[in-house]
Amino acid sequence: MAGQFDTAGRAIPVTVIGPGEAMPLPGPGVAVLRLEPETGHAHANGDYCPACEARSDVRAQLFDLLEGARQGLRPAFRSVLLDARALADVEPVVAALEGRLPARAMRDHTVGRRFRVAGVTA
Amino acid sequence: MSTQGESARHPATHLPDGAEVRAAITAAARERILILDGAMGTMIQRLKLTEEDFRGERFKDWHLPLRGNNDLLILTQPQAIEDIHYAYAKAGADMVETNTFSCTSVAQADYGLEDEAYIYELNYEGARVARRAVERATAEDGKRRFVAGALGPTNKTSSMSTDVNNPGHRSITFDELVAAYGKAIEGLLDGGADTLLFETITDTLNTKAGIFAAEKVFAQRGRSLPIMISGTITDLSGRTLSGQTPTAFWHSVRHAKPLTIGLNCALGANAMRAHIGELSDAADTLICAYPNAGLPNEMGQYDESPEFMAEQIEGFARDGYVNIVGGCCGSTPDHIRAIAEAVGRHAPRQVPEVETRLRLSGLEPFTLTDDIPFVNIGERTNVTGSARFKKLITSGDYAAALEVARDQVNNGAQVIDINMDEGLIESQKVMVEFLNLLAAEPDIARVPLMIDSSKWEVIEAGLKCVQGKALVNSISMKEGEEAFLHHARLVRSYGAAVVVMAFDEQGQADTLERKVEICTRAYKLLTEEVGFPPEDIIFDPNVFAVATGIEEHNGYGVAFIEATRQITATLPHAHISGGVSNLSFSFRGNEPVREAMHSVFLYHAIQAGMDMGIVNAGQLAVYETIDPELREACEDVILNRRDDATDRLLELAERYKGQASGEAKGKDLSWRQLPVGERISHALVNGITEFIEADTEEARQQFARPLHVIEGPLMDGMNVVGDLFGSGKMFLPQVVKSARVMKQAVAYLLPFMEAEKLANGESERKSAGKVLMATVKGDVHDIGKNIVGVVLACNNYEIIDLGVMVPSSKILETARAENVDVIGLSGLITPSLDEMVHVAAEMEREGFDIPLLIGGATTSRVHTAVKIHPRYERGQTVYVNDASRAVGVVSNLLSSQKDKFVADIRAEYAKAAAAHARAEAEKQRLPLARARANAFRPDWDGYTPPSPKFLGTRIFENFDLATLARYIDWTPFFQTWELKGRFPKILEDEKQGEAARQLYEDAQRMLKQIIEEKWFAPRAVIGFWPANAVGDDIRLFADETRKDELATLFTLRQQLTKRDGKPNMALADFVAPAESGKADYVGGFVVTAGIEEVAIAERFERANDDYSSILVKALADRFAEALAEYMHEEVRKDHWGYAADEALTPDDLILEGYRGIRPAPGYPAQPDHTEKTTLFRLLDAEKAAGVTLTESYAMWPGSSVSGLYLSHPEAYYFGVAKVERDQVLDYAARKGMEVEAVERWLGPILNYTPGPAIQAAE
Repeated sequence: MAGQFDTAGRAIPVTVIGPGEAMPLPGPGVAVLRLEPETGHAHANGDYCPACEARSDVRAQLFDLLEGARQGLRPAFRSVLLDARALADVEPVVAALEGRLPARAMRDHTVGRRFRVAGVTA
Repeated sequence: MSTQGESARHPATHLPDGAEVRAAITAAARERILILDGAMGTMIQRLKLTEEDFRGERFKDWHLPLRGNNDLLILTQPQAIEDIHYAYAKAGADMVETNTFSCTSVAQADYGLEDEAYIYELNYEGARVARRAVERATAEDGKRRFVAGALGPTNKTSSMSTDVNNPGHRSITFDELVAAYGKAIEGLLDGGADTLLFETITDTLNTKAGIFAAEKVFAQRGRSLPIMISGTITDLSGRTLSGQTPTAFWHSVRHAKPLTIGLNCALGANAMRAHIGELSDAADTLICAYPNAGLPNEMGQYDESPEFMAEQIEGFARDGYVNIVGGCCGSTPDHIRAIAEAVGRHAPRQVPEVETRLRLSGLEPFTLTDDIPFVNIGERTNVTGSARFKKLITSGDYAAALEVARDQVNNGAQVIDINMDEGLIESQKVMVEFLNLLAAEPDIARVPLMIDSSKWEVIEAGLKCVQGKALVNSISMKEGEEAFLHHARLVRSYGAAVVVMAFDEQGQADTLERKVEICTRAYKLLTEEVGFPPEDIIFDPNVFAVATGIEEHNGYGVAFIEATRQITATLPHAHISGGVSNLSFSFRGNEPVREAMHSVFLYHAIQAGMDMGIVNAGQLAVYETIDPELREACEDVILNRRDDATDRLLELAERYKGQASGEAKGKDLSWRQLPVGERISHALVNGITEFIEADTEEARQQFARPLHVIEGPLMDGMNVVGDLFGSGKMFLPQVVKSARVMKQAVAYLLPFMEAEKLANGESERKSAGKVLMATVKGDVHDIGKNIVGVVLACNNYEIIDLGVMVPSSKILETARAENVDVIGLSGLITPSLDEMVHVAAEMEREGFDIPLLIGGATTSRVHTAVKIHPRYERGQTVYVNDASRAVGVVSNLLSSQKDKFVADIRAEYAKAAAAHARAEAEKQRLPLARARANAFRPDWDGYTPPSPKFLGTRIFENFDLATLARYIDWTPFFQTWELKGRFPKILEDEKQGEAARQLYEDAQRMLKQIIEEKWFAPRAVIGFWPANAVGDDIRLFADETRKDELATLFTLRQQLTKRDGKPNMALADFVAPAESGKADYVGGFVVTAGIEEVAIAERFERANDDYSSILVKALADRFAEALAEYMHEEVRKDHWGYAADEALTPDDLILEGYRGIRPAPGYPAQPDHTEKTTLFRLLDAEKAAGVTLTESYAMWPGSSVSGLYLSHPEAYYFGVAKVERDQVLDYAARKGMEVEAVERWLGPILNYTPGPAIQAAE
């Protein structure tokens, strides 16, 4: 009887599309998030800057998707296509999504719970 | 390394006086906006320093690379750093920040420089080098400048876990941070910094530790500095990185009496604007803002020019938001010069007077204003107050314990009390663990916490875990003044408010005099000795039991109430709280009397000034509704109005003994005397959740294993429910309520089953079967599916619910992966029928042979028999016409009776298919040309179509939900629940009446809540366009000249033979044809109840409350329909205005007794769903109303309605019914669509079998 009480499966599926792969056509309810390549920041290496992080971190951007939908700034969505084709390596992105990178902010916890990796095409 | 620590022995000679600095800055800030410097890192980067430069002579052999350790340049390139400070000073900065952002042991550990001596030296020299620079500048121009000692956030967080999979984990503790910040602050203080600046704050708790450390160092050194605080907000939520709103953040750090509060870093000045505005309103101190110069670009450079950034910051100044401004990353002396010039044109912000109020925070702020007569502090997370919570905590079930906290917050608790004082648990450890877990739950952590313990060390440990401003419960003078003052000072340093018990060296205060005396003494000590803000003091003058039979106790109630009155009158801003349940101690077991006593007591105490209390709000009688005789007797006792008050109440209490409390009051509770199994049955049948946990617990103790409780009494009860349902003696709403009881019972047992499983590593219990359920692709309707799911789950089937809009591939993949026994498909809109055919064909192709169930409003036995069943030969497709049949069908399909059952179905379907074929053949069809010849032709010559008041579209929002509710048509609501009959007659129906009445009552209750709490935010867009009919189509024009065509609405014509001279209708017939020369119009609309419903329904689902989840969805549907009805009326009376004097009641509207119609694409008058595309485009519905179309042209959110407005007086709703191939060919050509595509969308109304399509599929 365990299945019916299981709500863990409700996380929003995220499909990661890696370099060289074809981007599927998004249907209704699918949010497309394009990740830009990391370009470093105007700080010494190793310095932590929340602003630079918010710009490049996939979790920060997924959180903004949620917030945008909650505030009515963008349509609601039920799944996410993550266009990571511009990145050299999708592994750090997948690691962040799967909670293998350290959380830096409350939003990282929210993203960890609200999204799940549904697939990685790379 | 001989210089290590040397500087400490040679302290700077002229150390600033903090009070003087504060006064000087405050005075200067009254005159003009002060200027802070810009980025240090950006300037260092320009120097292009090498590893050797970073190492200098002193660290040339250091074992780790040092390039990038900007702060180390204080020691290795001091002149370069001094020159940068100097450049900023000369550019106009009144204040420069030391280059010590990362000079804590936590951050320097990356370079192996965490040793205390280095940390002290870096900060000390960092202050000195900045001081040298400003003195150099001052020597040149005589202008005073200040040195702000910068303290970064460290790279760790104390209020959050770094591991999302282990939210209770902390990589650093409060105490470690206090030590780390303390050493840095010592260096800055001794080195001659004027202020301390906590900046780029990513975790408020880190900063609270920093403030704590600063106060400690100030006390040790006997010298203090003003504190400046600057947070960071980088995302759309407008929260800090640790999740607080700007105001909540301010409440958390206000105890530092900061010289400035503000924000820095972030995504440029514009992104910061709203948040600075919020702080500017909330904070009664100076505001300091220093954003980044925009966003880092592709090259890692910041791209806002000095002029651009200055212009944006000038906006802050113009709006009176700021007192100090500067720049963060990317800014340079040129930026600072431009900013200084720009803001120099504006007056500084006036620091507002902020009312003296108790202001707390969790992730969100809480202010105790006059609008809140009484703060109800949730007590369910108190092990001394809740047996259930105690059980969960002692068994270590933190997940369930968190749910208790969540429920309290969801139920409106403004503050929650956390108490872990229990002899068998390690209170301090458990407090810390629970608070750390709770911090990771944004929906709980949003409210302030009350850290409750009788042990100081537990309170202190708790305070070290919370980033918000908490309440401490409690401290007292029990151990004398010294201990009291010590604790009070610490509470203040941790930034909390405090509950003070009326308790002194002699004991607890019981008389009015003692209560007032002790509280007055404590107030004086706190406000005069400690400097405790009076608004942060809450007195608990002790609620004691009355009516105990002991005469001295009779005055306890009055004493509390009177003390409350005197304390609030004489001790300004102080608050009164109390634990109310003590009062009725002598009536334990007599809940009605206890509730009445609490209610009466609170009524009087609140009037006297009590504004807080630990109360179980769910168990509180409403003062007005208490039986007057009981109320009077309670008042006599509490107010001590007569000598025999106790005796009289005792006598009266006899009458209430044994009655249940709250809702069940007055109901027959004789069933409580039955054996436990029968009680469970009774609770299930009657949907009573009140006792189910206690009964389940009792049953659990009787059985060997928790599982046996489910298999035994619970399933027995559900079988009774199933039988009653099957025989029509129970109805769906009641069954769903039974399911709620069942779920609660099972949820109660789950922790025990988990524990048992852990104990002996057993496998899970086998369910009766796995059923996969899904609403098919393109369709968003799921109420029916959810009902079936609940009913099946109650019968021990495991349900895998894939939700809505599920593509066939997902269904089949999951079915295979989960090895399910049955697949159930649901759909409401007609295109779903074809999607179901598709899924069936795919199952065949992929070799499935499990049964396929079909259900949903548009599905039918005939469709299943004729269209779906033939596509899936390997397995059996079964049409399930309502939820009550689902269990029977599934159990038959999974039993040994399967073969016979399947054979019966096949025979039945063969008959249905044959009958269908015969009926089709018998139908007489009319060629399209003849149907058109028999079109409806009103007299256009004698008719002038009305013109609407505007052309184009208009958006409507902010609807009054109460008004809309009056337009609700309840009949379809009952149909949702499979109760068939017209409203309100259905309420009196002999068979279904009782179920209908209960459902209606529940719906009304939720409706009230929806309206009061504004659950939905409906929107509507309507439009009107000049239009004329052209054949079977309606042409819309861009304007009155009717030259430019805007769009064409295609309509379909009835093709069945008509008798009695009735016309063959098409919607185009209601619009004046072009050749009539009449100027006609057509309107269109999309309305929606809004997207909120989805989240609310999910919340109920998560709370295991499917009943409410289905209810809220059904009500959202009703709101959408009601809004459509309401807007149509507005159109008739006003926007189109052809029936300005129409006076119909909402009931008349339901009967459609008005002029004009609002047909929707996809409904009988125009069955083509694809026509919605035109309508949505014309109205720009996605932007205007937030409604989108799925690939099957269903509307999302699901609770939406769209359609056309036609105004002709003779317009009415008709059904196109079946159409012939000739019309389909014609229609496809007119619309420019492929014939196959038209056939697919019109599939259900084709009067022929589209040949090639069927053959290709078979």
